[in-house]
Amino acid sequence: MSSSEEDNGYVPFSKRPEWSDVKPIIQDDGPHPICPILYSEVFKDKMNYFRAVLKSKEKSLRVLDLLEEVIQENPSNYTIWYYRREVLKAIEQDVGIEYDIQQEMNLLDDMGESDPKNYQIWNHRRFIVEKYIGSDNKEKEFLSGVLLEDAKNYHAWSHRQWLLKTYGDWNGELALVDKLLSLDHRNNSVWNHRYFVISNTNPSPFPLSLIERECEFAFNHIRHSPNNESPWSYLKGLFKGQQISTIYPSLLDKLIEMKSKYIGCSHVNSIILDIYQEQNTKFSLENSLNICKLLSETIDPIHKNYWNFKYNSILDQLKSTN
Amino acid sequence: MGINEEKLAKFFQRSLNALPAPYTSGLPNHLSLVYFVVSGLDLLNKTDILEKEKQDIINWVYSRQILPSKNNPEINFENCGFRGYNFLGQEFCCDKNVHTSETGPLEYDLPSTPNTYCALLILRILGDDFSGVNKRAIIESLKQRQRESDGSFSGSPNVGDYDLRHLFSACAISFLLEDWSGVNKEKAISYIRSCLSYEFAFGQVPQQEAHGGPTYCAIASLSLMGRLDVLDSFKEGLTFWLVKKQITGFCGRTNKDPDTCYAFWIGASLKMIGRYDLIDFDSINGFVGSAQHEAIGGVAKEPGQLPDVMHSYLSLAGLSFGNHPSVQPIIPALNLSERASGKDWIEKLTKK
Repeated sequence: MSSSEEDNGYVPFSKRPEWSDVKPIIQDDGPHPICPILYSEVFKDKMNYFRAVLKSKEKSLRVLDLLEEVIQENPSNYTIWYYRREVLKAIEQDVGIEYDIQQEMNLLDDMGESDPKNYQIWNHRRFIVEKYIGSDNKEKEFLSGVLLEDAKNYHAWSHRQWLLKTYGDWNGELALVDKLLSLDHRNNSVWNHRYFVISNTNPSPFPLSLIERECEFAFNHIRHSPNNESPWSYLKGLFKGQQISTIYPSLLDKLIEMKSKYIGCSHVNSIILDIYQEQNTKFSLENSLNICKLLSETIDPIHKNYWNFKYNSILDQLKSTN
Repeated sequence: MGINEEKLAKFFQRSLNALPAPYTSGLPNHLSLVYFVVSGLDLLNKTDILEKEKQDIINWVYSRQILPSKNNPEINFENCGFRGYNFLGQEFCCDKNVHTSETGPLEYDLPSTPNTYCALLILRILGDDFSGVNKRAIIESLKQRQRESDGSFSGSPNVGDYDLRHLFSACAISFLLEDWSGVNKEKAISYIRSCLSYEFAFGQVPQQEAHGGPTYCAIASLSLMGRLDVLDSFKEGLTFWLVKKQITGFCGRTNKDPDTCYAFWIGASLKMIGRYDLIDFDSINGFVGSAQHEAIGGVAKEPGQLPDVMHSYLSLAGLSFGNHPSVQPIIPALNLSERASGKDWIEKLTKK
């Protein structure tokens, strides 16, 4: 925070009449500071007053204003957020002070948009929703907005999934997935969210009818772009804890057909290889050795060492079936 | 093309003297920034630079320790450990006999498990014997960080972020202090299992997207607990996911762009499960080298960006797994040089 803010008419707390009763406290970093951070003058000023209110334990509206200013400079500071929650609790109990919790949400909306990668902003948001707001469609709307801007935001997804698990409003989730995939079908976070939704609304392990439907969903995206790793990873994940070759044997034929169409696609080869390995026959293992060679030498040379490793372990498997 | 280690060492050395204003956002984790710098110099075999400042750094680290009440040592365990910063208005104090409540506000003085872990690593690198560390208080505080219902850990009291990051820090602290009584291992393992995603790697919390950071935390925690066998039933799927994160450098999630810090997170994960030789090290080395800033000397997240101490350190640590001649070998589960770890810890972590 820079001289531009200072030029932009930042008024130091010492020049603000409403703060004249507070004596600032300066940070003491000892005689030999290690990796000292070269704070801006604005930051130092705000922190000097923050230290002072922390010492006096003042919990008031002007402290909320001060904390907001400090948090803007230092959003990952969990102590400041914690103190803010303590002030909110105190204000709630004090009939003489009025504070609309919606103001808190507005602050969080702004900050969530400007610094979406910050753990503490989301953590505070969860606290406010849990304590004051509860189940509320507005929260889902806000999150959809954030995700449309930054669809791989790990924190926003985490918050949305917490909200779903806590309040259980699953309506519209698959539509959101469709919408986000239409914008970027390579976005793995969206694929994970689809998995999250179906695994929380279906029995585990998944029944065949669901697996068939979801495979078709993945195939629709694969047809569009066979080298997109996410739907392949999703497809494999549908069988977590089960064997493809036993519960959905006809999938192999489909994949072999795709393999002949998508020359040079490592993903289709790698999943066929998995199924061959599951089948564990002399014929299937010999086929999988050929696939390893193809991947290692032609299709996927960056992962050559891996495919050679795979080749050798299948060779061992083949020896033991003989 | 690899890294220029002299330039990188100078970058760390300059950082020791000052960090520019953008690091203000890292203030709450100031200790971890110092760890990146100190450990970076250690990995580059520049301990002579550290030697001069050794006692100052040790004092600075101890000034971040939160201790039990002086009048009653049974009070305030929940707030014990190291905080990452020193901004609450306390007087600078590194005397282990003086309790912080006499010099600053106790109530809002919160430690964090990642910063406690980093504090212990710095002390170990500098040859401190932990005699000033209040071990019992830290172990007691860990007990209060673990959530009864699912075995996860939070980083600080009253903050409420329960996830694998903090579970790992708790395991690392227990290993470093050689006392596991603060961790319910069975519950921790059950939490780790619950974070396994359909991609056979780990998310930060259950059912979240598989990600390189939490995957490292899960595997390292199991390694420190001596329970890597937990991975056996899905080791092939996990190996596949990790290997597939290599594009040129490693990325952290499926279909993301490479980022130098994953040279450590993914590299260390593969190393711990004995599969590091399955990747193409020359490409990793080349990617890290291409992200080193010509003039500043540090390594950025990706080529063309400004460097920072975190990416500089983690990418350097990642290069150690490929036996890079200029980088000291490290213990992947601790992110600490073998030199600083010493024979006992190495043996503990490599025995079957």
